[in-house]
Amino acid sequence: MVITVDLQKMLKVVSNIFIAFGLVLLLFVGYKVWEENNPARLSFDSFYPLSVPQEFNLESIEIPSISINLPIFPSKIENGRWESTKKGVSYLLTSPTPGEVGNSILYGHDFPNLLGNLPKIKPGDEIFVRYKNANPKKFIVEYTQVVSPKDSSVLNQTQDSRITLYTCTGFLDSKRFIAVALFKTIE
Amino acid sequence: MRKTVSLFVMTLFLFMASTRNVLAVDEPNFPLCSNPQGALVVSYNSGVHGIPGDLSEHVGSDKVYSLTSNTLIQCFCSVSGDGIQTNWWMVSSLTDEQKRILQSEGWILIPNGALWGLEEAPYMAKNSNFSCLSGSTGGNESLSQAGAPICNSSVPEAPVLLSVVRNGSEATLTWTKSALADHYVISYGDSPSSFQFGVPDTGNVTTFTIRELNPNKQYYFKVIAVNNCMPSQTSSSGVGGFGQVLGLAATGEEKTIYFAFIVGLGLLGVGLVLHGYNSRSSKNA
Repeated sequence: MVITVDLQKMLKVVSNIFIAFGLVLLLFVGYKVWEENNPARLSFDSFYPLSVPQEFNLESIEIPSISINLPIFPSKIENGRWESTKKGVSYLLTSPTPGEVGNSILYGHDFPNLLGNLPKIKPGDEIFVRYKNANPKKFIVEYTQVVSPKDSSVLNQTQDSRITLYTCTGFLDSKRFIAVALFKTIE
Repeated sequence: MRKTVSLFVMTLFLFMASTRNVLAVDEPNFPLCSNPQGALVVSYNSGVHGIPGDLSEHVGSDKVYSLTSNTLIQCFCSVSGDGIQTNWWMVSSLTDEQKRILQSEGWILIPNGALWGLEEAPYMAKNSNFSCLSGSTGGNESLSQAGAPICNSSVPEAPVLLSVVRNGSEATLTWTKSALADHYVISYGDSPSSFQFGVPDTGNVTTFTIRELNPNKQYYFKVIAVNNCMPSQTSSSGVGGFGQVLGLAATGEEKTIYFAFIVGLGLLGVGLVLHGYNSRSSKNA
């Protein structure tokens, strides 16, 4: 097929645009994969001290109002990198065991089979944490908020007994959805 | 090909520029109402309250926490459970141009804070939303009880614990000086969740030795600066098994990555095919 010079020029421009955008998108994908495996990259200048690892005796977390029932796995931060799992919810071992005084930190991927539903949780909803060798404990959601990854003050230790559960949300995972629940004795 | 490279660089630049905030003023950090820091200075369990930039009346509870000498957070929780956090920032030292930049970033200029029960100085205020259990604002009541005497002294900056040197039954702590502090408080304990021991007043020093510790136990320490009656936040780093947390971990969004990968690969493939076809056509012509 014979194509005109004008069409050739147009094809050249179009092909260049496609190649440029394709390369940018592939670079972006590379960046996101790298970022996901190096979560410390999301860090800024805020930091705070945590305790030494707690003994792990957690089993699962259940949020009936949004149909979440997931196993809990222990996680650590090593060299600024947060361990995570694709099988359930991660519990940061260097935060207090849920139900003890302080701020217990749990987090998980926003996949549909994990914490994808978490942003639907409402204040007043119940969260149950089950333990390997103890009775379950109930927490009542007190706050929910969409925050920036650098708002790490939400993880600061507290003098009440609470859990802070969070997952990624927003465009390109640029935000974190947090749910703060306070410990309530099960009657 | 040179054009392709130029276009690629330009696209990359535009993409990156679009994701960056251009900000000529350093904004202070504000904690969240779901885990407020600082000292509780105002607390109302109910009533009608004002929100900057919003002329309507808001009914619910309201608490104000003083963070530093020029920053506060206001945590309002409506009776329907809609929370509004207002970050207040005294901006006497900022130029008009800097204030204008902040306004373009969503800050609201309050020319006189006195009208809002604050100091007689210009403030910038910024609102954000959260959800709360109706009637609650500020999660950490035990930090400062509502109705407690109000301390009007400025909040000193939190010291940074630089080192803890253990030597048998002694531990020597060194921390950074906090400008407004007139003395420091040390809390310590043998459990990370229980700081059962303390030194109520070290004097205005930046190093202190604690004695009579059990040499076989690991201890955890934190330091608080105090200005008259106003405590700072606890020291921002600890020693003795303490780690550091750097922001909230990414929890991934694989859909976006897969989508971008497929589209990117598709665009690149189509671009290369068109490029090859065009080259062949040019040669044939």
